[in-house]
Amino acid sequence: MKIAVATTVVPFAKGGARRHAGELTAALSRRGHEVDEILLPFWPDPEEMVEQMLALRLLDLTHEAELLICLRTPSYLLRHPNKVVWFLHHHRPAYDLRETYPDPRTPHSDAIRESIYESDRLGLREARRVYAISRVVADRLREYNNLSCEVLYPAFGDADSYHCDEYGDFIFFPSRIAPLKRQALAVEAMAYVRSDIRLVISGKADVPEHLDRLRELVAGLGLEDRVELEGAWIDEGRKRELYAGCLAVLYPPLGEDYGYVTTEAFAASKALITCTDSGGPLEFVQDGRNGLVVEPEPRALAGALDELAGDRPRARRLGEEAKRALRRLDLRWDPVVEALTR
Amino acid sequence: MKVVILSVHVPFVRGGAELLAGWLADNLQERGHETELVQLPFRWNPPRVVLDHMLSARLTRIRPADRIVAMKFPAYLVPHENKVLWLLHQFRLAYELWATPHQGLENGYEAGRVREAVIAADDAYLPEARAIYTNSSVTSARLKRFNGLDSTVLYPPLRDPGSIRCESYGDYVFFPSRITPAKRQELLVQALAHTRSGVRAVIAGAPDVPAYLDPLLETIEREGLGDRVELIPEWISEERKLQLYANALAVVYPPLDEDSYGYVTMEAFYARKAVVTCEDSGGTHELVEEGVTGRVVPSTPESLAEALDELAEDRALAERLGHAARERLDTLNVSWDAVVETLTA
Repeated sequence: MKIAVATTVVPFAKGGARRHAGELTAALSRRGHEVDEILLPFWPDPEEMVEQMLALRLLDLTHEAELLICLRTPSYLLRHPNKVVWFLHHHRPAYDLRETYPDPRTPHSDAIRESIYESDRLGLREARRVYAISRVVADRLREYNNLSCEVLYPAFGDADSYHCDEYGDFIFFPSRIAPLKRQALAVEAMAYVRSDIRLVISGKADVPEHLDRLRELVAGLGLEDRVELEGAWIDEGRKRELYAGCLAVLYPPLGEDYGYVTTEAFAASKALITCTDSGGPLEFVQDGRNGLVVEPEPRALAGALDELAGDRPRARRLGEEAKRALRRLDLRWDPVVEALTR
Repeated sequence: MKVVILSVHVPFVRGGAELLAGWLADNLQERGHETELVQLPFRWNPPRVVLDHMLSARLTRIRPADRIVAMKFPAYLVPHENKVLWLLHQFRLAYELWATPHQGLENGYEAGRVREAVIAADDAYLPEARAIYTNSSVTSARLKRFNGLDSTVLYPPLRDPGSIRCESYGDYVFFPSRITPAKRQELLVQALAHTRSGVRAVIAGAPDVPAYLDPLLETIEREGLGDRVELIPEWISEERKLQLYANALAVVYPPLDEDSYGYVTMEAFYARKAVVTCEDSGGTHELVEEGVTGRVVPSTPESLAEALDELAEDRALAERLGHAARERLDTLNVSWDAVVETLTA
């Protein structure tokens, strides 16, 4: 079948959508489909969002492909009679973050938010089927869009490329550096940590100021020796090395949609420390079995870090169970391809 | 700086423009620029969808970029304060191909209105660019003729010219290209039937559609050219191609009204081979000068045959033209250094 896989992407950002689209395209091709990946630039500045939504709406792929699979919002505005949406996330500042992290207030912001709601209603209504990338996202679709849909986890095709060397003397926190990922919370926690564990944060900042602010925080708390801040994309090899060598992985985002970090940590036989409001990771992490789940609060997080630093055999036990949990999840491409092309 | 290369993509089709955009991205990156390639989907039938694509491009926002290098219609309509154009061609169906057998737009009232809109959009929005570069003087001349706009020619370099070599001047002429009527492989086969020197031809390239091979095979059969024409109807490996360039007597490249000089011409020149082309071949004339770096002859089998015989019977001539061809390249300043510097200036 001729299949177009479409998603919006932010130029220069190596976000999940790009990775997701690439891996899905490869999986569909392996199954013998003729697949083309369509990456559409989309800059999520609300003040320029309405025109960009219209730019997408004007594109009709009816004659190009038999099936259109849409990923990141609002790529489902593309026109096609046989459209399937694998919903990654909403424009969250207009939905679940509307009260906590809303888009900046402007004379147009109410009208723009209404346009976002309307475009989601339209695009999702047109779809033949909608799948959610996680339960968190499925719950939001039910709450905000009155849509009940099946959860389809992304396959984890290269889980075998992760390994575990040891349970070392540092905690690893890999992620884009952004307020919602809460690197600042992790740094603040380090001020309360009593053991000599170190924290390695690596990832690129969405906007350079976020990295600057984090640096100031580290310096202000006098944690330069204990917190290592790598403010750039790490290559895949180095990322795997850090997973392989750390004691455990820390990932405490706010309401994450899915979070590749969870399954990557599990693949490296590492426990995941996350928070009660972190969203996606909670679908995989069970407190005290394959990780630790604590309140999103510096002292609570520090307690969890000290707990594992003071009991390495426990960090290992949780990590080994995490690896087994990942195997049980059986995140393969076959069922995903099956569902999307049904 | 952060550079976005902006082009278009016809879903499920890969073309030469995409290769060039990819090479440009590689070369920008090698020189320290953060680079992203953005390709907007495009189609043109029925003609009215061209209007949708134009409007869609106008509404598209490219952030965060310090520079946009736009290469094709309608992607170059995307507004940006720091946009430069490296134009491969405009929407040819609305310009030089309009009202020709190659028009390619379903005919009728609608197509006419769409054509007017394309020209109006080009007139209005092309001047937004900080600078307009083109791939050839043919493209620049059209821009001047149709839209009254001045532009500067910036020749696209080959990806890796250093690998091209010359070993000998053998007993065959080489014609590497997609097999398609506009490239006129059949003209070469017919010419072979008129040659007296026994010169051979190697024609290599994938046919756009399998049926394009039929007339070639029929002519070869009818004229009994089986042992003088080697037809390789597929993409040949880079190494095989270099080998065939290296030992050819000369290169034949007689397309009909090509936009630009064509990569074949430039590859031939790096391999120190004269290029035999036709008076109606268009862009090839930018590099091929009659009697100096190759031959430019009328597009008839007889004229082409005569040119091939002359080269086959006078290898020293083939060699002399080939060396002049290589020297001609040095006067052009075609390099990725120059391209990157110009487009990011």
